Amino acid sequence: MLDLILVALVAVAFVLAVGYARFCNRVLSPAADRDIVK
Amino acid sequence: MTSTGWLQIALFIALAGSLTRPLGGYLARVYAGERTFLQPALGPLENTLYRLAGIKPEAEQSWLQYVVSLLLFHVLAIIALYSLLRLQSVLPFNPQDLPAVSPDLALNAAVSFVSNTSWQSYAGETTLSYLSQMSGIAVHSFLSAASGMAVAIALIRGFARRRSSAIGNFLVDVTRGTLYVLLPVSAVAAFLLMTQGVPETLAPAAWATTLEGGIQTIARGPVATQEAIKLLSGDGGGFFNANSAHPLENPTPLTNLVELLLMFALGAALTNCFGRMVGAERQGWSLLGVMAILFGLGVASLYASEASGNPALEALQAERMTDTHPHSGNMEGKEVRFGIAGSALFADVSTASSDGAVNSMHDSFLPLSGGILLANMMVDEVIVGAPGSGLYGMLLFCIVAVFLAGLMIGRTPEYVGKKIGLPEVKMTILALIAIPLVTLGLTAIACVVEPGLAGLGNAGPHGYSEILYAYTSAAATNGSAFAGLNANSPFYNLTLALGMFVGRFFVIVPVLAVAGSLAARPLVPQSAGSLPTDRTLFVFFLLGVIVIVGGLTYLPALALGPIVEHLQLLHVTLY
Repeated sequence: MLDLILVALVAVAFVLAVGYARFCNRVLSPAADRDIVK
Repeated sequence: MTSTGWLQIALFIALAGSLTRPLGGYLARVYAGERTFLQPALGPLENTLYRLAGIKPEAEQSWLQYVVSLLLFHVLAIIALYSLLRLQSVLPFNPQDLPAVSPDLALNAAVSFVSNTSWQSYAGETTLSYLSQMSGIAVHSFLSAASGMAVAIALIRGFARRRSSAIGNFLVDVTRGTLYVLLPVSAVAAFLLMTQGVPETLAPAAWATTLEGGIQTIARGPVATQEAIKLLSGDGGGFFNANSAHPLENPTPLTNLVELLLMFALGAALTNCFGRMVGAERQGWSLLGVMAILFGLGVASLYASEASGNPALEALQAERMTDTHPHSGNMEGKEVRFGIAGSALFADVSTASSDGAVNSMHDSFLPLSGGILLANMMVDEVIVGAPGSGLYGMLLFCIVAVFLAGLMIGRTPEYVGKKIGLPEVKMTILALIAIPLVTLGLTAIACVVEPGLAGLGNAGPHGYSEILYAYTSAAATNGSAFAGLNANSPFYNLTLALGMFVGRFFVIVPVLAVAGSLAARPLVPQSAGSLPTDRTLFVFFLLGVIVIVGGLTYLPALALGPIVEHLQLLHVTLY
């Protein structure tokens, strides 16, 4: 049982990391692209 | 300090420096898909692997596809290694009949080796079967190093390409890094280690009768093959609990030198590879210059600190020798055969390179020395670092440096022909903040909860340093231990696993995002207003940024641990 819980935790970590990547992708969208110093 | 000690350090620096250019050129050819001298031997194997896995080597990925491939690959690797450790008691190559690894320890070890950390809450010779060591620990040392290099190469492609939506193919990069770089170098190094007496056998432990008539168990196994990749990969997890202090892992002065060179070889060479791939080798040399200055300062301070001896022993006049050698230095926790210089050099290389192997016990170093080792890890692995992670960490600091320089002179920041925009700076800050956040956050929690305090071997600032060292080592994917902390408990196994996962993957994700964003940008020609980033001025500017960012983030944490302990030691107060 504990094994299943720990493997599920790893799966949750994967989902969170993919979610983080999608968040980063949104930040990188062309609309967000502005030069810092004009 | 002795002239022999300084000579030893100088010899290592000269040899490591001389490997940088040839190895950097070779890496650039490998990752550009060009023909190398190993192509005839390994090319058919490479193509077979692609066919078996259904990989089209010419099909490249966007940064998001690259990162999802990487994450999926690593999560499957964690589950595979976890399963292997849990099932080792019923699997072959277990001559000592070792039981299954406990669930929390198995998860910790799986995350540790897949994330290229190699934090070990266990003693290898009494916990892992030969199968776990060979197909678990050693295999993931290869794959985690290849992944780190793949991420660095993807970031370099981001700088080198113009208006491209792709940054490479993750599985192709991992395959080429493993086949053409890690396997051949490891094979040569393993053979050299075997000639020096490092064992490579599947026979069970040997038993010897001591002079007193007792029975001594002498652990052995397939050590040489694991030892080579342990050092080359930046992993550092030892076959034996004593790691490279064990005479069967590191038997002679020659193996000690080879192990030192293996730890720095790929990290240093990648700077040259970067310079070649962006078409300006000098850019790589300037990065290596910053690494060399930080390393030189660290190793000189560490050697001086350890050679100065322990003030508490001096107060007792316990180790006064002669007028010309008024003290023997701090030899506690060190192998006599390596001495102070050899131990200080190994410790500095190990923490700077993010490898984490040890040939002396870091917990026994003087407080200021412990602080130097911590500082090496706290600057995000940029002092050479592990293969790949050192370079991408340094490139993140370069982005911060050109951003700050741009603000000073009122121009859009540029680096190696790419304008650095707001998205890249945001991603860089996300990457740089992940490690301190998890290190300091988990340290704070462990300092106030009962399971955290239960693992302490010492009280006061030294105990605090033990906890800080553990989480710093985990999040920076170093893996070396301060040794005083008993970290094999569910609390430490799970929180350290969290630290390793966040410290590795929550840095890699924004790094690859930077790569994707930069690859899509056009190249801008250098103008009179561009900041030259291959000159001495930029080297020292970048150095200042690293020291200030690292110092501002961690100075309060260091003040509570090693600095307070050092001041207390001067008044002979011990913990």
